[in-house]
Amino acid sequence: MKKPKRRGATALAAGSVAVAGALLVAGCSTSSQSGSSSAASSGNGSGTLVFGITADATQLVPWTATAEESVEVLQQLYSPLLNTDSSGNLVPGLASLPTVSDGGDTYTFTLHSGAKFTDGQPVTASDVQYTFDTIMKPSSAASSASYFESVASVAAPNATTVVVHMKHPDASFPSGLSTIQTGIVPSGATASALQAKPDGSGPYEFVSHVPNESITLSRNADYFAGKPGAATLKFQVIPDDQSMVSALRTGAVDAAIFSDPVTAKTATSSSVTIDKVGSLQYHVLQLRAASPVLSNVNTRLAIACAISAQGVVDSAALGAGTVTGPITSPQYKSSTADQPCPTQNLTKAKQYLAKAGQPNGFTLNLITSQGLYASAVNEAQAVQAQLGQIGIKVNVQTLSASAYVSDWLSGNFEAAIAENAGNIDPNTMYARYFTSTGSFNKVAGYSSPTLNSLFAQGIATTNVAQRQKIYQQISEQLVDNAAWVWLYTPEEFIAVNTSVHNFQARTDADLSMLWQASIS
Amino acid sequence: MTYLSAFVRHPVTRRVAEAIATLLGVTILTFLLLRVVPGNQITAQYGTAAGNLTSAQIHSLEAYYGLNKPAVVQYFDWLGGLFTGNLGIDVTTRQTVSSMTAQALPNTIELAVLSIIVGLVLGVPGGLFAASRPGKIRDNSTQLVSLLALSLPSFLLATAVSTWLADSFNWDPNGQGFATLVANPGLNLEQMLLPALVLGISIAPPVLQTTRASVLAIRAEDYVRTARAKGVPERRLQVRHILRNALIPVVTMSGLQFGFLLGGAIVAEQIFSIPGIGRQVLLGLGQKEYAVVQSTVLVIAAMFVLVNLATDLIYRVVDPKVRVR
Repeated sequence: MKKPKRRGATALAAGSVAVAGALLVAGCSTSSQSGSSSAASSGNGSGTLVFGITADATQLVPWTATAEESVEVLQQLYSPLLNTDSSGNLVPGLASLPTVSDGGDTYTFTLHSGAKFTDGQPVTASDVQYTFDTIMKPSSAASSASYFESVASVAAPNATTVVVHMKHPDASFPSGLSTIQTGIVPSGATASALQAKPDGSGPYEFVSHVPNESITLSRNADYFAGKPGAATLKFQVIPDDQSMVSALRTGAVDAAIFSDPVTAKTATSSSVTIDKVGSLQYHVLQLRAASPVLSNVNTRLAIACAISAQGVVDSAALGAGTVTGPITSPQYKSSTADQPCPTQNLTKAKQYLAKAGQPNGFTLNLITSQGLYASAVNEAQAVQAQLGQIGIKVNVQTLSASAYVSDWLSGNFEAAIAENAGNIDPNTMYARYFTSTGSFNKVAGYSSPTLNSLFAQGIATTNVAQRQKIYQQISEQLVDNAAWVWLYTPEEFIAVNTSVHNFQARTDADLSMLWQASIS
Repeated sequence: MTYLSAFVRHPVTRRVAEAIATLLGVTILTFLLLRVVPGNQITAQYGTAAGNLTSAQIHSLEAYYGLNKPAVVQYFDWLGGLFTGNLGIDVTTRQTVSSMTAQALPNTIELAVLSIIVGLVLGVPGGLFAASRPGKIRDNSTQLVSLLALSLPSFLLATAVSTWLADSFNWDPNGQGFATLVANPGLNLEQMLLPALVLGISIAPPVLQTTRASVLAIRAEDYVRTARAKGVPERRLQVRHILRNALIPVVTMSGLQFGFLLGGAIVAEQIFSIPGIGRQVLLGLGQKEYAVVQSTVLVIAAMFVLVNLATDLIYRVVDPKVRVR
């Protein structure tokens, strides 16, 4: 009686395994076809370059863009007045480099002749005036409005000349005009219209957007700077990093950016190479001098001396970073040697603690974020371990991204691990933090009359050599007072298929020159 | 009055009322949870750069996102919209939540159905196989495999399998743009194969255990012994008397798993780039798109309630005793 019963069960089980197996085989057999078709669609012959991004580019209006993916897509669709070269120097873009009046009160730009929007209309000075006026309107809530804080008005005396009148001289003003958030849009274009159908004068023009899946662009034949390398450029959304690696290795995606060195390494193959690039961004231990526990400069200096920035890079970022001082702008870069403790010095740290009247250490609350960037929690733990060596007990509070941003913006913390944006101009990097009226001074928790004066001199001076001296003093002021403890600038990894040519890997994995890349 | 009383007391009326109360509770809970978490759409969009915004810009953004209204007004505005079929909009992309859901929901339903099929195809025969010799090596080894499958995190399995197939066979259909079942059925099934297998493997163990336990319990029932004594052929005994009755709890479990998959397939959707409803909620949460999260969670909850009702109905079909009751 039992045998047939067992046979029935066994047969059913065997049948189901066979069905599952058949399903897998069917999938795999169609797979090779799809693998080859995918390789074909990724550019072999069709001229389509597929760039993998981990999140959708949802902000398609230049002045609203804050997310990296949106910036990467907008850089292909719009042109700002100026660009930067690979060393971070300003170079002409949609306009020539500006002529500055003697007192630094006016900037005059001459537009590139022949530039057109994708609707065929020429780019004129009126379009530039309209774009800048729109950015300056509070109702636009433009993320780039801060670049125009010193601007009094914008005029368009003729079709190719733009004159910007300043409220006061501001040598940092031109650097803002190289960001895509100041990309030029046609006169009268509204944010809602541009969100639905971007219309710029960039190397590619908008074709379609499938939310959370892809954005497809096609070559702009009228692009003023040259012929874009690929006929079609597609940004493919693949949310998971490891899936991105698989897509790269199978050729479904031609290029992608990784911040995690381990993931980037797994993407390397005979057909995928990795370009490592530095960054203007910096990771920092922010100390709020305004909080009672850190108000004594010796306490902050003790922390600065107890920290090994290289140790943080090695343990938290797996070596993928470069130790930095405050200023990362290429022309004004701070030296890491000019600090009270260029490297970890526990003896000196303890001396500072004793001077502060806390020889046995104290308790410090440190916030960090889960979700804003990968190494944030590891950095907090590394700092916790290092400060423990001089008796400072660090309570690490790991917050969600939104909770962290909320606390950070309101200055509701004693110390914070942060990744802050860099800029080619040091004034843009730090005036907002360390001048008493700066928009982020509550976050920085430190300012001084000396710094206020130096920052004022910095924007009033146009001569680069003189500016370098001023910002060197600013840098020294910041480290001598241990306003913060600067850790490192991160590295990014750009994975590129060998079928992609002329790809220029740039600092911050900036894709403003992606248009030159072609695909074989 | 009698009719009214009978209507009110009718089990179907009671279930519908329970369902409506559940959904209302879900709307309130989702709304409150979203507001309790620090931050809002402005800080979600601008991040730390929100500190650069002037107060005039912040007021403008608050008006744009509707954040300047009291929370109660925001809630009833949204709830009122639901009654007119308006689920709200994604404020950043200006897409309606209805259209987003109409695109995402079929993908998730397809994935859930395929996963359940894989789970049943693996779990039911596995359960029968294990129950065929309880306590013996066949049973123990099947249960061991089941335990392993249950212990294996689906994100790990998904990543490992997709990486292996990409490296070894140059096969990664999910690296291409997602193809819907209507647009490209072949590619769509390829793209669904791995996520359905991964999710199916996580569903199979409970199905297997339930089937095994149920078969063993039913095999000991008097009516089975009676049927066997009366000379019912073994095959018929297995299928009509044992399997059919043993599947009742499996149906219930499958219904629950299906409901769970509607919102719980996020990991598979994320790893395999499937634009489903779970990912829609995840992205909405990240960007603090209140209407997207509230309405999508409500849709998922409504689907869950409907699936449970449908399970109850199937239960009545499969189990004659329930019909009698």
